[in-house]
Amino acid sequence: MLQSTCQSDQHQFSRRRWLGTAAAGAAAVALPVFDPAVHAAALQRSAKQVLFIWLDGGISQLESWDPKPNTEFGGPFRAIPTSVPGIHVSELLPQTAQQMQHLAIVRSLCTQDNAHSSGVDRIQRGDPKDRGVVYPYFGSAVTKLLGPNASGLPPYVWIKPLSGGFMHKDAGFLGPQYGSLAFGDGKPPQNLLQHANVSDQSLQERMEIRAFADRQYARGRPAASTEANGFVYSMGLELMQRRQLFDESTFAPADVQRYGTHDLGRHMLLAKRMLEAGVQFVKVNSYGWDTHGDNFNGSWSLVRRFDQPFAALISDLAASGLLDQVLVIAMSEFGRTPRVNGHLGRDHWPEAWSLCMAGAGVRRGIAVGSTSDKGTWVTSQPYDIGHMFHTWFSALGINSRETAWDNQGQPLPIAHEDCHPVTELLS
Amino acid sequence: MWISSTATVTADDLAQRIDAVLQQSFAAAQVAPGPVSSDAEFCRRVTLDLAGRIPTVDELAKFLSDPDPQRRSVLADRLLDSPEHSQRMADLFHVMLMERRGDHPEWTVFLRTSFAQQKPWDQLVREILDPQESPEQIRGAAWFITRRLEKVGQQETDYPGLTRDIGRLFLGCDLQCAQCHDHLTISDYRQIEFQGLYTVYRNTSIRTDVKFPAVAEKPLTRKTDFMSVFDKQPLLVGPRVPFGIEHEIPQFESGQEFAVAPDRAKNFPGVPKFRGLRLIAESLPSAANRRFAENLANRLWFVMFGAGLVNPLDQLHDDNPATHPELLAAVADAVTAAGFRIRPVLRQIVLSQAYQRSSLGAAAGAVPYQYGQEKRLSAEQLLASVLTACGTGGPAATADAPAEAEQKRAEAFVKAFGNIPGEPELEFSPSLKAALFVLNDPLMQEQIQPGGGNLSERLLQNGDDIAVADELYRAVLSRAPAAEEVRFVCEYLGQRREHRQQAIGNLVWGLLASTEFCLNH
Amino acid sequence: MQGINNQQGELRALAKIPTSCQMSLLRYGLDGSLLLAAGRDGRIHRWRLPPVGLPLPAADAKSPDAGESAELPPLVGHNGWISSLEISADGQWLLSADTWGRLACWPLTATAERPHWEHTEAHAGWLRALAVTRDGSCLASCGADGMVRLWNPADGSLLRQFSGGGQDLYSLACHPDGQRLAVGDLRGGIHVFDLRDGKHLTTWDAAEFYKLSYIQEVGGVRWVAWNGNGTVLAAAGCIPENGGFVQGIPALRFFNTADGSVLQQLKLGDNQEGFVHQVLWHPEDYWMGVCSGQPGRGRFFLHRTADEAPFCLNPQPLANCHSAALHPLGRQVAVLANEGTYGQQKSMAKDGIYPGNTSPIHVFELPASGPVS
Repeated sequence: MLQSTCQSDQHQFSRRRWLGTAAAGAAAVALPVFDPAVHAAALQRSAKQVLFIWLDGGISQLESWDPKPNTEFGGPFRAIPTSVPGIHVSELLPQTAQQMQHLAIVRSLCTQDNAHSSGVDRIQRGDPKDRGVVYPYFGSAVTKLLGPNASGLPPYVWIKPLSGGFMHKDAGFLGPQYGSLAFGDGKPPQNLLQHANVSDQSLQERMEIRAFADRQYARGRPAASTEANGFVYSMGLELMQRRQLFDESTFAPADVQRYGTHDLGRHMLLAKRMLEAGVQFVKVNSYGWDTHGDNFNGSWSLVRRFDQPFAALISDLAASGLLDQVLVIAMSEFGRTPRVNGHLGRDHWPEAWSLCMAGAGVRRGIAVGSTSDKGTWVTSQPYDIGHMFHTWFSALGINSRETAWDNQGQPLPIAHEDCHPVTELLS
Repeated sequence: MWISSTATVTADDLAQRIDAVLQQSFAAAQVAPGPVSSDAEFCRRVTLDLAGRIPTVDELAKFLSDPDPQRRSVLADRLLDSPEHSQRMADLFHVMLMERRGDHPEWTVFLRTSFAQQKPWDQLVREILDPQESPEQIRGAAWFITRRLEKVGQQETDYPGLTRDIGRLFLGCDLQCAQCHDHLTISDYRQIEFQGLYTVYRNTSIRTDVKFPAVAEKPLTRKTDFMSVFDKQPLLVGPRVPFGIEHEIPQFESGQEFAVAPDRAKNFPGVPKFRGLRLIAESLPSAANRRFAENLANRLWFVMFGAGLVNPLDQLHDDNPATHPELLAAVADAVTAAGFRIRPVLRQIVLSQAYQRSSLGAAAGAVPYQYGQEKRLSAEQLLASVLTACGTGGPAATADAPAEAEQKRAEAFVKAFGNIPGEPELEFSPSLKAALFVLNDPLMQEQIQPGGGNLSERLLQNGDDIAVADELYRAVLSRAPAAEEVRFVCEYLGQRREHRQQAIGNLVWGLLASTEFCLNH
Repeated sequence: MQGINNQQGELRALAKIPTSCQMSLLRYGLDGSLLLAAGRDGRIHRWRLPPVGLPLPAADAKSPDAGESAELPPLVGHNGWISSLEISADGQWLLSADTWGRLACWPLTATAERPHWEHTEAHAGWLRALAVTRDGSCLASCGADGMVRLWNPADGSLLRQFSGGGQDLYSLACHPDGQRLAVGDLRGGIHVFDLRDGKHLTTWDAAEFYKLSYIQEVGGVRWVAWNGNGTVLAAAGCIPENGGFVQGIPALRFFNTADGSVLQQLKLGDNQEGFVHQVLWHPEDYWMGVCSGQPGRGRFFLHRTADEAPFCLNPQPLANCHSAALHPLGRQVAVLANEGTYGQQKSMAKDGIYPGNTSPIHVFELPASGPVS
């Protein structure tokens, strides 16, 4: 477990903020002086955000980012031009096609694992070398590396169907506090609603009394315990005060129409809200993409329902300028076989597949990598997920080759050391 | 000048030895130990440690006004003899041994009756390692094993995990990395230590012919073959306690392996004549096995001092020496001399000056044990303390709520404050989940709501703000308020005359939510 | 389960015609001497078959001999997959549709490369089904664009068009009286329209053929078919358990045409068996159908309405069947079933060896005297 002995700028900043919101007529507490320039650089880096859209089960690249119409395995659908001349996508992504100028498609992914149970984990952890430690998921890693930002909100939020809660598994050796806070079907965690007997004023006063008690206790003692405790209470209060963020009745009807009333549409709209509020890492999960059967009717339903909110979100982020600081990634754990099976489905295919990215640090309006005529193999330089991790860290301003984890004295690379950032993807 | 450690420490002189050794280390570091704790500090600390809750206002008052110079040891003895102590021990070891993997009523019965009877640790461990069907009150010990044999989804039965936990929890040795090769960095942890234990546990399974937790064993007929992933030299090992001797496997004629034959029709697995579980149960938990004693010593030390003499608690080996090796030896000696009875050892620890040292004044750079140390409170301790603080003034009656409501309350607290399954609860790690629970959960609010003679009601009925401040602090934080705190409370109540009930509630909440309340210090 | 009582006492396998790629639909043409299949390579495949009575190639033949049954040159010009094939009422013309929305009309034994007439955008996107009236006056089409269009088969002129109710439309069948059209949609609705004026007459309910699983709309009425005198309509699909894989129980629902009441709901297996893809009427008073599901599952079956279960299932392992066609004389049936590899087969792809699956055609003999109860 990593010990929190950090004296870094971010830690001081969040402590200061905590004191700022909680203190009311209290005795001054001496603060360490910190360098504004270092503070500003840290702020800028920590202002980066990530939207990670996980299409669980394996979206078919042939029915989305890398169509091969009228070939042996091309399937029934057409390819359509996009807003970037020369780049075509499947007809199932008509609205996303209009946003291509903001996007970067990678068509040359070639990864190791064709099983869901292990593959999902390996991809989301960057498939590092096996050192007997459990690497953190991308979201835990990013929030740890960037450090807390100024929003006061939980740094890693996961919007998903079904159940929510505090998900520790993601964090690996970083420790459970770097796990995600899951909003099951977009609903916030338990105990977010203020108790009916407690007025807003009482709530404020309770926090002030609590803070007073902690200041008293901390006299003559190391500050770590009261700081850590104060931090979570502040975050709890912040979440409570911002709960209209996840109140669907406050979503603009026009937005709900544009994003779609189905689950993924609602969840992507909530994700946009979270990003606008400053949540550092938002992961959105969609399930049901493992189309071993009826893949084409399935894709007709699934891909179009991804297309609609994804295009709306990219368009909104670009319009507001937020796309410059948000890194957007949409992917699965692998692609799908060119061969169509007897159930009219496609099976797992990690050998040649695609993902889509956009935003902070990423070049716009490009398609990187190519596959063979029939889509069976990567013909350009193949990239493993480690390359993507390097690229994404770099896009966020983190030096992926020189930064290392410190796991109880054991230095560990943050991305696979045999891989490197893909420069043609970086702006 | 070092005190000779050739004389074996018994449970009668352990306290002295602890202080003597620490005095030497302070002298060597040229520091003076911090001051002894105040009576209030001590009363709170020892009641939490031995009875699992904060003291009531009455208990605190009685202790503070007791003129007996021996009042601290008298208090310790009173707590050790109370039924709450067995409850506390049962809760503590439940968390330690099961690491939040759920509950089972038979397991709970096993733990509670064991501690109520002051069952020595070696016997308790023996009952876990080789669970018996009768007497009925000990059969729940099987749950330690059966819970770990339960399959998770499509995964294989986690025999390596079970093997590892036996090493970790009863010998203080995490042999996980020694499954596939000799441990890369710990020279003691060779692959054979893991494999010899694994030989036994991979033969076990959950009995399906009975409703209570019970373990079945297949006949152990052959050694385990294993190979390091590095040097690929095939080796064999029979059943073996780590760091102990390997046992021969007797060969039986086919059909003769069972002492009690299996019964297919009833799904009864039979009882083999030669049983690995019995072998382990006979050799592992014994006075002859030094690591067994050291593990208990280290864990008891952790419970009382907030840090092990060896850290982490499951990394006892030559390359990870104790911070104070003579202390580890002394406590291990005392534990052994006491026949693995825990109570006398705890008593001695409480009597030491080291345990009674105040935690106030600790700063970064302090030498270990120079000051008292903050300790995490478990979900169980927190619940009992909330009930005590907010209650009617007497010790929280566990029967104040119907069993089902009480169960739900306990589960809610574990869910809010407990770690995730498999994650040992070692240090204070405040969570957003816990904060939201304290902020908004009805269970907390109903404790603060005045009624039934509880704290809030008593405070509300008291028109004297200074008296209110005094009772509030004694009830929740188990001490008198400082002058500044009295002023704070009076000012606040003065500003909130029209909403006195809310104001009282806010004060109670503010102290319950404070760091001071949720730690043992 | 009783078997059919023909000379051998069972459904007899006559031949197996290999194909070069996966196919989706079979039709017999002319007097049964032509067999057509809709290719997933965008081409219409055709075989000339010997008259009934003469031997077909042996069931395990690797390739048909010339003169006994020969594959004619496929008709090209479509894109994507061929999604539907119909023979005109007079038996002279072939009507074809594809998943890009093109509709075409060809002479049945055409060798020319151009169709007689065509519309490249008869529908916006996937044109799923075609049906012709018995009197030859009308060709109906429906598609994923939710539209029904009626055409003059002779020249392809558009007679009428109307919305099918707002959903993705999967299947079509013309009533034997030529006046009504049944249209099956994604959500389990079967809409009956008047062919003469396009008016919506009624809607029958097969809602259990549909499920929303996460964001996937699973199911659909995959085929509709009338019995010989139009008194019963059969609707085919599956009762979905979940999307993705798609696990679903193949099912048929039989409606009384007179009042829309449900005569029978028939489940054909467990949730590994997938969809009933096609169901057709045999004049000797029973239905034939095919279903396909998880690897190695699915079947070809014969069923009398109101029986508890099919009275005959394929006699040999014949998994993942996608279509069946009845020979005009009623004595033979051709069934498409999937064959080939399943799964990843990665190493072969790297060496350029990556075969696709095919849909060999199995021909069975049906008994002369009809089923024996």
